[in-house]
Amino acid sequence: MEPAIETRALTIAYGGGAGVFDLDLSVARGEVFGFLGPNGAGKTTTLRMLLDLLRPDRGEARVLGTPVRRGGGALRRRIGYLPGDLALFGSLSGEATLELFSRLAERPPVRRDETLDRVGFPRHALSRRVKGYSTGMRQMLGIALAFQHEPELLILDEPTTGLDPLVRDSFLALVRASRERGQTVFLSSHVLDEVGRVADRVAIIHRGRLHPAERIDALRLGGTRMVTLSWRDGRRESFESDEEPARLLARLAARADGVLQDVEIRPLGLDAIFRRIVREAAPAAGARPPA
Amino acid sequence: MNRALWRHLWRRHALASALCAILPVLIGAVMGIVWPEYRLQVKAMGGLVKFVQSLLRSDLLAPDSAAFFFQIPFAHPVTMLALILSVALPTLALPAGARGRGTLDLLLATGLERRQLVVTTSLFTLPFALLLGLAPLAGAWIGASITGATAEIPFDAYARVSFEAVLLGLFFSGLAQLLSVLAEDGATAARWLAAIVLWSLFAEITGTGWPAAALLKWLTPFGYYEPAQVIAGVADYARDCAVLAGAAAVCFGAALVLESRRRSA
Repeated sequence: MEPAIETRALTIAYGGGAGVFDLDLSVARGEVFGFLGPNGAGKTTTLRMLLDLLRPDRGEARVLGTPVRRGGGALRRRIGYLPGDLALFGSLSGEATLELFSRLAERPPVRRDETLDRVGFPRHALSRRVKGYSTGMRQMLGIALAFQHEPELLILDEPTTGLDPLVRDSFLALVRASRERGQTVFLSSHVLDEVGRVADRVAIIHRGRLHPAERIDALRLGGTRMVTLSWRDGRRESFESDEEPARLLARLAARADGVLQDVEIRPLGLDAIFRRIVREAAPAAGARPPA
Repeated sequence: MNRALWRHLWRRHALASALCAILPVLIGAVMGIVWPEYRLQVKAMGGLVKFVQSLLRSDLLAPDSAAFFFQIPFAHPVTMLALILSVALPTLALPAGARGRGTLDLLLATGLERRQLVVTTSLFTLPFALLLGLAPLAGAWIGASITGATAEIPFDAYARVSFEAVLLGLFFSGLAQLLSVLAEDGATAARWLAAIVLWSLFAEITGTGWPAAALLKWLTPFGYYEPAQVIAGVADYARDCAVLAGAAAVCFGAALVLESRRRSA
């Protein structure tokens, strides 16, 4: 089966080094794929190119087996999209908004009620105008817009923006349920540990260039550990270590010398992994001229 | 055309666009109330009124005739403004307004085609161009009825002016749609349209009042919308209609092509 998303050398340059360059990406069907990167890295630009809302300078993108440029509206109807800067028609009620987008997509809203219930959207608010909604309620409505017609592919840009922790958990459960139904989820975010809770694989984009996609567990078990030493005089020292556990412990024992109070060794968190990748990539990416 | 988008446009813009039609009707009614006094006083009037009369082509129609006086609902600047607003409100809102607010991505992501967006919005303005074209005719008829002057009005000639007004509305619909495709947001598109309208009004007034600058008129849409000439039977009616319809078609076609070719929706 063809991948849900496949890009080859996808490039768009805005000038001044900004844009997305030579993006090669493959997302399998039924996968939850985390697309990570700091603000301004090129995440939204990539997502917009996948939907043909933005046309690349060169390269190709295929979504659900169809070249994006040729797929047109028929292809986009098979996708659920939640933009990063969600803007809705303030004068419409929540219900009218859901109905409008359902009619435009020409698909029955088979998952509307379930999605609204899962994210805990207050039903009585559906009759109110969207301009009176809080940021969180707008985001919940945006999530319902993306999920309501049970699309084959969900492209979600910073979906948890403005959501409180409980709703965030409900949203992540919704993503897991979508994967169980066989839907593909392409999740763009800069909240890395959140993505780590649902994504099968992640790729990191920085300054428009992609770092290889890896499985979350491979990233976590990559051998790098965060070591924190606490000394009796109150000093604390943290460092990353790639040493084998036995050698690391032996070295720490040699240093302990009776004044070490505590040692904490834990796998590197996704945030730390992300910062490390970005840090290591920064000089090289900066040196490369834009395509 | 997309029916769901049409319904959305209808809910958002139909009332405002339709209300614009009240203005020319009101102007006509006021003309009816004023007409008996105007007819008595017209010869004594001078200064500013003479200038307005010359703009309304008193050289072609007798200024004390009902045919001259009741053309005002067709030529009044408020009528022009209402006509332009009626068709420009929806076309400036989509795509430029939606692009500026960020709702365009969401609309297109549903599967709506860029072409459908332009075609649906443009078609949506058709009934309002028709309504606003007919509104001055209705205004003139109501005004003439109020004062009992209907027998003095050449309604067949007025109907031809109405048709020209419909075409003028279609031209502004196409123009606003084209600007909306080119602009990054609704406010920018509105500014461009306002600049073109102001230039056109300036050129029309200058070209009419100053024979040496008559050429200016032909560079604006108002140069091809000539109520007095049509009523007097001296206009090149077919040419004017063809120019307005052709320019509307060119603007619409350009909007369609350029929207499809935009790098960013």
